[in-house]
Amino acid sequence: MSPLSLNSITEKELVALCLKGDRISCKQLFELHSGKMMALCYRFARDKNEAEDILQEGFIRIFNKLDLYSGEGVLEAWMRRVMINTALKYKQKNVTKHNYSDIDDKHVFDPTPTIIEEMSKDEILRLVQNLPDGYRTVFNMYVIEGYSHKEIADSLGIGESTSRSQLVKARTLLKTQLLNLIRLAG
Amino acid sequence: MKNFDEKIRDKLFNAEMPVSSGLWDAIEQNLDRKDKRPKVWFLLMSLLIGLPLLFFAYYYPISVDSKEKPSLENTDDKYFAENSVLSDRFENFVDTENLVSDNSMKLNQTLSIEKIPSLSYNSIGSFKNSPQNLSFQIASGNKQRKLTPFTQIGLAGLNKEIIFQLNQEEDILLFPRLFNSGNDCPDFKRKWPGLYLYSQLGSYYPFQSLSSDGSEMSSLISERDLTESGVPSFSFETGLGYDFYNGLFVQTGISYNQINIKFYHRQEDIINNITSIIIDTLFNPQGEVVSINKDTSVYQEIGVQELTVNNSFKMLDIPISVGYSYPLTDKIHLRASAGLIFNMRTRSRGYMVDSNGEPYEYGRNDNDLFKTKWGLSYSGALDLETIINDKFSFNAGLNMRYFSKNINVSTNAVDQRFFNLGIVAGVKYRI
Repeated sequence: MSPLSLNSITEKELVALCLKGDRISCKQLFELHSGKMMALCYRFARDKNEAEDILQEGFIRIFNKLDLYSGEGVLEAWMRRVMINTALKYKQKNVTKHNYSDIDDKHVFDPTPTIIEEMSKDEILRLVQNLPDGYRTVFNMYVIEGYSHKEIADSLGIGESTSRSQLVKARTLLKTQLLNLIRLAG
Repeated sequence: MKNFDEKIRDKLFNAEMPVSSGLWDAIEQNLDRKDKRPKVWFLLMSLLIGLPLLFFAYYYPISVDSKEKPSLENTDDKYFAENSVLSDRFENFVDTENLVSDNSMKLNQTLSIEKIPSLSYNSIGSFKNSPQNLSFQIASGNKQRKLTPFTQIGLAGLNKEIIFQLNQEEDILLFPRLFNSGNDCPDFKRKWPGLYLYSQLGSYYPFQSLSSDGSEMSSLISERDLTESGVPSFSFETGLGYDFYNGLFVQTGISYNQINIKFYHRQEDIINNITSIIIDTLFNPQGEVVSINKDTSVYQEIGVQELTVNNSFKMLDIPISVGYSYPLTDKIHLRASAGLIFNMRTRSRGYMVDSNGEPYEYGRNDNDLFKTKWGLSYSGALDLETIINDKFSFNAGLNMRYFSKNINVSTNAVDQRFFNLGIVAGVKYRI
């Protein structure tokens, strides 16, 4: 759903109405962003149920802290940050421990990037979803959300080198999975 | 590698997924629940008001102990004589009026006046270990002529007293000395014996803490932590207070606080262009100008640029505190207090770095970074009070203030809080 297709009201005006406690506007804001945020949460979660739990917590947080949104910059970017923080906190609470092993990668395989272009979003999402929890978190934060290794290390309480090695492992695993797909396709 | 990452990012960054239909309802319910949560400040206020009341209730049980009479030695015999005379006169008065039988109960009540001294009016709840000789007294009876029952409750100590009289209709004729225990008796003419004026000056060190909701501001926070540091700040407070008999005291007034933060920014490798103009004038032996050569050159000087500014937060507050004063000796009391400070107005001005590490000024003409009202903060103090004479005393000790709330407006993404710790000295004048 495009932000402008909802109605003539701008996103800024919608935020202002939400801050005044207008629940209809809150619902509109939720509907405007819930699709993208759900996909984001799903990438961090184990399954759809967990993703919806994170999404719910994240939106409650967003509405409670909406007054902290400066109005400068894109609202979606701010929401993504809040949602990622919520996902990380959720996982800290609900998962015993991620395996952030500091292992050097032995080989890096580089499949043809055109394979990715030919794949649908859902197929790639499924591949990412198959990554182990720790790898997936680092991969999502670095590759999709654009966090630096320092920021990832700060957020997850791990070393920067661990973040780097997890990323390499995640890439390697993804590429291995892609290779297997190519082989299966013949 | 970048190609691989970018392609996956392109596919997934804007991907959308459907959401269950009932999810919004669940979110909305939680938003409602949040609105109904009681405010922290309300709970704290309730505690501040409730705890002293509990203290009173615990230490002043209303009970009559007719055996203990620690101050009766101070009571002169004349008192009993006066009471018995009055009682006799009253009995005569009743007789002469020929009261009918339904007044007999009132008569009995009136006769109990004689028993009032035996109530040991100065003994109930007596604190022997306290230099203030605190006591709680209760009495009841009928007035001399009108047979009007009344109840009088008093709390007395050295030169201090609180008297409550229930169902009072006119001045008491019979009982002004009921609470009188001799030379140490309180003066009933003073209504607010514990009232005092106070002023105090404080110097403290502000500890500033910066935080952010997400990790995106971590580099800016690190930069600000490097460039901003607390320096000695000060406060002045004046107002009214009240000392209760049990050692509790309350005080409120108005205060001015100034938090000072030193901003220091150093920029390396600043290139400064220096223009040099050399003028050569050639004279002949007669002193006439033969030629003028002007040579202009520009060279660069590399150095550092330092900026040191005192950032200030000037606040006008209303403090309210409740405390307890423990007498270490007759002249020296140890006092501990806690309270709330309501910020009425704050003006902020200074320098800070932006996300690029560049310094910029705020607050000269307008302030879009900090709130002008910081709301509620919490205070605590521990000091020694030295009593100079009946009127004056001095105090000095430790003082703290904590701002639990973020002082920023929403346009400023970095949360900022203060914890002030310092010393305070003041003077107290009993009215």
